[in-house]
Amino acid sequence: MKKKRFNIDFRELGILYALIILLVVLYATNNTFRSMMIYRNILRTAAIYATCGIGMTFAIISGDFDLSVGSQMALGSVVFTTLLTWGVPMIVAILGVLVLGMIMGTFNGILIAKMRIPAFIATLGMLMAYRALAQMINGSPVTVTNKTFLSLSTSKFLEVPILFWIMVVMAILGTVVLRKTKIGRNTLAIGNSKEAARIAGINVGNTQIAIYFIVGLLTAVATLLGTARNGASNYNNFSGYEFTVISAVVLGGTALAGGKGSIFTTVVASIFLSTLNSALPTYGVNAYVQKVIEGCVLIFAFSINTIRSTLSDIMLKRRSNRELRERLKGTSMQA
Amino acid sequence: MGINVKKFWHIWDKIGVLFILVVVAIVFGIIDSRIIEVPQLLDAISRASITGVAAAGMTFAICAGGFDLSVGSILSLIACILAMNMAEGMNPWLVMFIGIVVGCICGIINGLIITKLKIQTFVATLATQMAFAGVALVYTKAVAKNIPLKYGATIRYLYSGKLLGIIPMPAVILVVIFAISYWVYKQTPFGVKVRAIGSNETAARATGIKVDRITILVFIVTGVTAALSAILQVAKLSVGDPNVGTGWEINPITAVILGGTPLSGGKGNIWGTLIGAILVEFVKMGLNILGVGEAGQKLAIAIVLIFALTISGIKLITQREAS
Repeated sequence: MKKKRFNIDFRELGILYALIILLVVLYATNNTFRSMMIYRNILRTAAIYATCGIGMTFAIISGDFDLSVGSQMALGSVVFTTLLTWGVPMIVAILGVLVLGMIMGTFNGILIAKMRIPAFIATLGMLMAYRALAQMINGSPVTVTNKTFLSLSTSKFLEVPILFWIMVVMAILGTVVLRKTKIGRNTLAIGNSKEAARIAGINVGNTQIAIYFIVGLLTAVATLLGTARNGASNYNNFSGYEFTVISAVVLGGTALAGGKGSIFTTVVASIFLSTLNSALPTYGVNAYVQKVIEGCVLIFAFSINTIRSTLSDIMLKRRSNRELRERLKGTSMQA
Repeated sequence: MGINVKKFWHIWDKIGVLFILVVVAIVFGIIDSRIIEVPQLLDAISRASITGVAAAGMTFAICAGGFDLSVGSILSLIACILAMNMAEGMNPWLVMFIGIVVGCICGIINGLIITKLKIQTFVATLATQMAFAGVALVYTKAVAKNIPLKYGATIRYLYSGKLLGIIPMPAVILVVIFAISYWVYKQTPFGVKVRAIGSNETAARATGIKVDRITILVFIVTGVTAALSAILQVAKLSVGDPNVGTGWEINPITAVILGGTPLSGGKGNIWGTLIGAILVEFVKMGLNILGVGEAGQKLAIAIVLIFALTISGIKLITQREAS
């Protein structure tokens, strides 16, 4: 019984332990990791991963995922800088990006829910489409000159970057939506079983559209954070972002099969990945090797469930063998 | 009504993609008659060889109920291996053989991850997509490698050569590969087992099919066909670019889905895939002639993919309503 409880704890907080161990090791072995600066940068990057990851958590809990987030971010940031160069006020441009995100998310949702296209391939198509659109709008990088907008990335509150605080607010809102509202409950129900949810009277299609709407909206927020951090937009920015975000969600323990998940652990996993990404270059690992490592981390994250169930199978077999042996011993003693 | 719907989709499965190809050709022909002249059509078929060969392998993967997103990265990796070694003056046939072996190894890696770690195919290949692309970048240090003229004659013949002076080599290769694929699909135990796994994996396992072994074989097929595509790609451009395959997998995937192979698995349409591949390249070539840029062509292919998926979605919905 005790072992089982340990298992559950590990499942939910494993990534937190991993992060603590990683930070201790880095602090002990690496000079770079003894200044506040690097931690602030880690939190800034993590804020962008996590904001996008909160939306992705919803999608993965529902048993699907959205591969188009990286391209959505590229298109969003290109549209943002284009609006700014047209002389649109910043606040309107921000609203424009958010509305665009909602439209892209809803469109993905309609393809998945109404056209009955499997999510991964629908969003794979949109991954291509959104990035191609971004390239058609502007094929060259544009720098953001608006000081107020850039200060979003540089300023701090209580020594912690503003970007991180924005993410924290989003995470709290996301948790409330996931745990306390009808949409959240329906998302969990769909993830457990679409058929059962349908029989229980849940409108699966509309819930799916709502989920991708949430993904689109949060990705748009992440777009703004990312554009502030980069200080520029380019159509090939954020390529492969979907990998990082999906890794963060899955490393956080949200099962790919759906039905289970937590936004808090997604945030912790985002900090973990961001720490790893800033640590690797200090050990002389170049960007390309880093890509290979990221692929391996992704495979590891995806196979955690298999590894865990194989381990528990072995444990179970051992325990039942022991019990059998003891029982046999007991009967032989009786005899 | 029920029979009508059934009949319609039955006919559509057979000639739907050909019908779309004809419609597209007519539309292009009306806009600009240059696009449908014979040399252009032959060129489209030559280009289709690169997409088509990988699409033939992808048909098996999708038919087995799986998916391979890593073919683009395998293409990059092998194109780089070919170019780097040929530029050093190595025997081109030996280099091509090595390329195919590496494609086979990539397939084995995919297959082992999917069967031993029990990860869904498209998720596993999403991860290896990143890993293989990373390996290609590490191998070339992210610099594209040109093959000098004196070493590239043999491989260039595979794309620009003409059999008997008229038939383009890539068209010959394309037809040969598809004939082999069709034979494997229809006549061999492997083809039957792939279909069995695709329609019901549990049942296939129960009848004694070694599902894991067949799955690994399927991914070896996609790996090797991606390697053959890489050979044709290098034959066409004489360059090994580590980024050539980024996002390229959408072309073979679109070809397969256009061809009428359902994503639910269990069925495959090899000749449909061939027409699908020609259609994909024909659309790109036509847009190119009309002056649409690279980004516009990518957008067009994405729209074609969504269109093909929507058709199969509508098919699913109407069939369910009819029954």
